[in-house]
Amino acid sequence: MKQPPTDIRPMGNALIELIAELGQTASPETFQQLLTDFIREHTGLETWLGIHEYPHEGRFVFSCHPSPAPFETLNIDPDQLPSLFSGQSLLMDQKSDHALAVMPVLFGKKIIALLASPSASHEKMCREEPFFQQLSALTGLVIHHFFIRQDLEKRKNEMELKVFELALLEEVGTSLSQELDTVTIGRKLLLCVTGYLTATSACFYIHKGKSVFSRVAHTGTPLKSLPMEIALPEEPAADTWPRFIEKDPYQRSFFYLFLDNMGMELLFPLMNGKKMTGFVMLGQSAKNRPHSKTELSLTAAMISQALSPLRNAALYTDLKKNNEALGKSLECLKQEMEEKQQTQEKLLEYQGVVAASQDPVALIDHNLKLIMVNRACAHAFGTLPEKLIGKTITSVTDTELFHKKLKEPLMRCLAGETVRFRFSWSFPEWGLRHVDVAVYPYQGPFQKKSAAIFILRDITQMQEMENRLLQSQKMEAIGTLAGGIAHDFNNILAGIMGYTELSMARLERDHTARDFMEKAVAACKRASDLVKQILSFSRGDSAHINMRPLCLTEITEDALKLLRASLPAPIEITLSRKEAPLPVLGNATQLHQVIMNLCTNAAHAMPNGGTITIGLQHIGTDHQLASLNPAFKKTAYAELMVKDHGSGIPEACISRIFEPFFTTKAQGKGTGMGLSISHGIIGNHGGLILVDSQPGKGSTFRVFLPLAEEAATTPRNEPAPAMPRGNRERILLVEDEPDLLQLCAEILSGLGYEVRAVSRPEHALKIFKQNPENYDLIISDQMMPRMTGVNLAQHMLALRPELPFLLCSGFSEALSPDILETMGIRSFLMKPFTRSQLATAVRHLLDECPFQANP
Amino acid sequence: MLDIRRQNINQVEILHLQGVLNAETSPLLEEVLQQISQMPLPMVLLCVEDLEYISSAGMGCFIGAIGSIRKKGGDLRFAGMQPRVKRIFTLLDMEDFFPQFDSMEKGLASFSEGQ
Repeated sequence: MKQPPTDIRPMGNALIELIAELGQTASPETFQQLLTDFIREHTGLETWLGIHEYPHEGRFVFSCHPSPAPFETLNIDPDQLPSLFSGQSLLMDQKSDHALAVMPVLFGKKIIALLASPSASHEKMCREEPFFQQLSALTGLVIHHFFIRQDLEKRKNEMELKVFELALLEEVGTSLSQELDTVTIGRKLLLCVTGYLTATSACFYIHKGKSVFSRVAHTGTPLKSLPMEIALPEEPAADTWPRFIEKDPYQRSFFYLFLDNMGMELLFPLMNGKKMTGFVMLGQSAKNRPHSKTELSLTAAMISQALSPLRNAALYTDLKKNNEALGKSLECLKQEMEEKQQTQEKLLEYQGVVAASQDPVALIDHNLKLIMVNRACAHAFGTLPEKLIGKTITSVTDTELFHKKLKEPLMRCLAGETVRFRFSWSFPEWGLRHVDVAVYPYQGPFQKKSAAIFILRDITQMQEMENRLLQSQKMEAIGTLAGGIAHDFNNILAGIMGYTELSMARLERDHTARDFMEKAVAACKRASDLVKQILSFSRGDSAHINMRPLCLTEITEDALKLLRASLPAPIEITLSRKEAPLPVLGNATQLHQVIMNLCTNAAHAMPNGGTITIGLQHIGTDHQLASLNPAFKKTAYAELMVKDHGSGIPEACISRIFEPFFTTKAQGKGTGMGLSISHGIIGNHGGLILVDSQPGKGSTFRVFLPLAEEAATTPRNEPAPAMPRGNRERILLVEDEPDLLQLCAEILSGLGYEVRAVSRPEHALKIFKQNPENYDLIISDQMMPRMTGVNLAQHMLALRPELPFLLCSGFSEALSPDILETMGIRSFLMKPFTRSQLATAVRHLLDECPFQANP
Repeated sequence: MLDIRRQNINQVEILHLQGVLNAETSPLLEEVLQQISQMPLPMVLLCVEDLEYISSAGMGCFIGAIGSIRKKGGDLRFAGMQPRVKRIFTLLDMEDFFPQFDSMEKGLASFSEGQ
């Protein structure tokens, strides 16, 4: 074996510079370029540097420098390698197309590289052998260093990558562990993974339930659209999961096809023990390069770090949900409590309203039990609400009343109907009241069966008002009617009365007819009173007309005397009870009329005869009449009872008997005014009329009048006052009614006056004008054709202002005392008047004494 | 941690990044890039002179956005990249995937020159 040359040909600084430069070179290409350029410069030979590849078994790799070798590698038979250890150039026939001249580059005993040149250069190479030997000896060292440096560089890079990867793992772990939101965890994880594997797209699905996975994050631009949810088959079995699955077109099992379908390259299952809780899929690499197993394992490790943050996030989400649910529950509870509070308040309000109502309100269930009653209701029954509640309606009301009045409406209401009706109800505390009843069906929230709300309204007063209104309207009608006939009627009465009185005056004192005539005059007075009463009654001011202390017993006895004469024979009148005196404050005529009316009605109720029973009694202050009618006061009363055994009053009519013009009698038999007037009279006297009637058995009318002080009652037969007489004074009498004219003329002449009677007012005026001083007094009727009494007075008083003028009228409606006084009419006399009234009026006027006209 | 300043010059969206771009901050940039990639012609110049560090998550932002940006004919380029950042691009073998320029001006110019 040839020894390597020991003497190195000096090449000066050039070689040292080359070696120094090669020692700095990092890239194999530059290294080769520098070396081959140097050889070409010093020998003119074209050479290629081939690096002996580890483990030095004959494979040499040539790099692609600007003048590349015609081959990339050169394989030398290992058996031939020893021949190169000589360090001398050899001609080798390694390539099929051409032979090569090679010069080994040794480092120690290793062939570290070789310089190759076309075989044609071998001779020249041999000639330059010392140069090559010196160059290769130095180059071997430099190449060795170069390798070491490259190896170090590679290791450094690997270390750096490892550090980067470790840092990445730590970063993923740290960053994800802080997160409690699944989506953010997914996004961060995907960014780290895609960055590391330079994947252009990625997605992250987590287990939702059963075999369904839902997408929580994605990034980049996937090739295909990614579904929000994916259902994976149960297979493969849990323990067979790989750490990652790479796309492989030759594999046909599910996940390979799945990746293909999704346009993805890689799938990383996220395992929680043996259960897959999610998976990450990655799309193609940006540089389309395959990934090493190390990279994929590291990625799998990175992804597995998401497991516990995801678990935490799930727990947190649950916690949040629970908190929210709790919050909502609290809110609901609060709202419910508020609503309950409001309902409670409303309920209390309603309770307050019902309780405060003055109208009795009761709730009655289907068993007729009182479930709820208000204070007013309890008060009406004279008890407390709590004592009434729980009782049945039948136990607190009169059985007959319940069956007649309440049962049917209550049953209808419990069947769902609203019922309204009116009736009279005698309450234990309130007494008899007219009530308006409204019964409403009620379906309570907790009661399955229906109930009825009873609302009662005491309309006693209202009904009385209504009745009074009605009565007053009717009375007004009567008044109008009466006003129309009053004048004529009074004139007639005046005639009857006047002539009777005249007749009496001509009779002897003890003449048998005198008594009858006195009765006739008294009847005329009552007739006249009646007309006045109707007139004033219709004006509503009859209450206090001619009220004076009277004895009811005496008035009744008077009336009965008259009645006995006028009633048919089969009717008998019995005074069963007579208490006297019964002093009352009243109008004798009116009370007389009431007794007559009641007795006449009683007689009419018994057309075939029977007995009218009259009772008169004193009722003390301790009476219980308020239970019959609340209008009764705690005062003593005089009671007049009129009882018959006649036909009775039908139930339907009983509420109407006191209405004006209401009658059940045949046409012409009754006016319908009797009871109405009686009722009005007794009302004005502060009394009451009650009726109790049973059809077929008879009726009982009870008249109650407040008892007055027992003091002076006016005796029945007032002694006739002394008749004032005339002293031939001259009177001009004007009256269009010939009978009355004659009557008055006769009365006045009989009294000692000189009378000039004229029937026409204009004639009277003419006579007066001829000699106004010729008369001491003018008496004139008011209602006359062509000229009224007032007109006549105006003309006459214009001539003689001091002239005494007496105006008479049967209808005083239009003449008020004020008007008369203004006109200078000194006196007024209401027709019909008695002889004595006329005499007194005339005397008073002539004596210039102001005369109070009769009412 | 990461400050993103946005600027638009000649229809180029310039994003000045300052701070650290890692798993913590990347979602922020990802959102901005996603928004820009909705534009008809998204041209993005990332000025990373003041970017101290970038992790693979940061890289994920760029790679994730580039697909849709380039599909529309736009591009995502870098200007003023510091060696530390550039080293990560090298480690991940992405140094030549995104065009890089020394300065913002050059980066801007590259868009107007139609490179």
